[in-house]
Amino acid sequence: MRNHCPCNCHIIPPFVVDKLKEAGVEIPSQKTINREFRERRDEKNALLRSEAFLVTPPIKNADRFVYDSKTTQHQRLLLVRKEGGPAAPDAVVNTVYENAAAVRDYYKTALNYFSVDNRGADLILNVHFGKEYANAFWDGDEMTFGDGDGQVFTNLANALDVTAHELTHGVVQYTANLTYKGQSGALNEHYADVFGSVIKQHAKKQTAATADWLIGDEIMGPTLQGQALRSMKAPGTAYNNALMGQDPQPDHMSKLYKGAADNGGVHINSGIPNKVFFLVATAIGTDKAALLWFETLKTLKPTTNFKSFKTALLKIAKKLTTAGNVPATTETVTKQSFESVGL
Amino acid sequence: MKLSYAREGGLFFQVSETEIEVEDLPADLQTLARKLLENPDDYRSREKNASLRDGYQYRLELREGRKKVNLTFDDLTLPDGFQPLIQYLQEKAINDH
Repeated sequence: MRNHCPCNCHIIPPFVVDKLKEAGVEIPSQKTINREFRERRDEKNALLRSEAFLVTPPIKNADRFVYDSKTTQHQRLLLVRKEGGPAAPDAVVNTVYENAAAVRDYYKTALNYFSVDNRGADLILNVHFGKEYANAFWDGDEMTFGDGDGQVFTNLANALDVTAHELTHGVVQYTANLTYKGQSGALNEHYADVFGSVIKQHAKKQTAATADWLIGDEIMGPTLQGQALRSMKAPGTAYNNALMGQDPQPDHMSKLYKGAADNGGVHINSGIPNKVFFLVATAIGTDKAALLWFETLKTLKPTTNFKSFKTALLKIAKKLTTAGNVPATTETVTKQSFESVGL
Repeated sequence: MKLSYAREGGLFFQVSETEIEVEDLPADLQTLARKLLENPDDYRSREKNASLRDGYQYRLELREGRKKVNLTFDDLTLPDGFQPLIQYLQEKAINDH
């Protein structure tokens, strides 16, 4: 959020500023925050371009840093928990801290990939963002969660699949960097949903057969219990209510959304590859399917569309089958699953 | 003077839209809207974060006679002091719906 005010005043409510000051916290002005943010980004970009970085990439520890936005729209406002530090009095802070570890550990253990960039980048998590902000996002550097509006969503930081979804946007950014528009954008969203669901299943010790394949079901408001943001098993059936409307996700290429909204349907058309993942995971197991999807991600181009995604997956399926890392049926099952959605 | 508002994006596909006569806004928001129409460049977002995923995009359009001003923001470029206006318009969009 930018400050256009000529003075150094804050959007942070005075009572919050007072409380922070009482706690001994010095509040930087928004101009300072913006300058620090630009400096951090400039340093990072300079490092990425440097020869030293290419020869010996620095390795960090994927440390977690949780910040409280205090219902403002400012990130990195008040550090409330960091790696190895004591639990915070705020349960939301501790939940998102634990959820980030679950995601980080899954990527490291199951996929041998370390943090968002495979170089152990810090995991920055902002909670209590905005007033009744019913959303969560990845911004290229960090994750940010609102408290929800209490109607459609409760606190978005409380759900493991939401944290895994947002963190996976970071992983995608540092691997295939799928362009966030049209089919490549839908694949970007698809990957975020895949690892949202995979990591939730892993944490709950579920299998493809016992999982509900819902995304965001644990953040739904009190009158929307039983509904969700998306269903990977049955795209288009996750919600149907007065607050959200009707789930528009297609489950077949014949119903592909071709409009301009939502960056060309990135949250809509992801239903098609989501269904493919569900079918493959059901046939070969969620963890094997996750491995196949992740190894494929590392080979994709930013402009990959659904058709070239299928080609890439089949190529990696063959490779992993030969290496004995996935069942012998994987290539056939993957091909059939794509055919069943019209690809 | 007419103010149109739209919010797109988020974790799932959603579009919220509404339109209001500026005279019908609370007094402090009327002042903000008039400042916007008079000096749009003071508020215009100069940077777009191409790496934003699942964030909201906000569109404001002000019209008075032949004069028309369009402004687009996301969650991180929304100027300080805009939150009350966005909240008001978002609530209206929900009630309209």
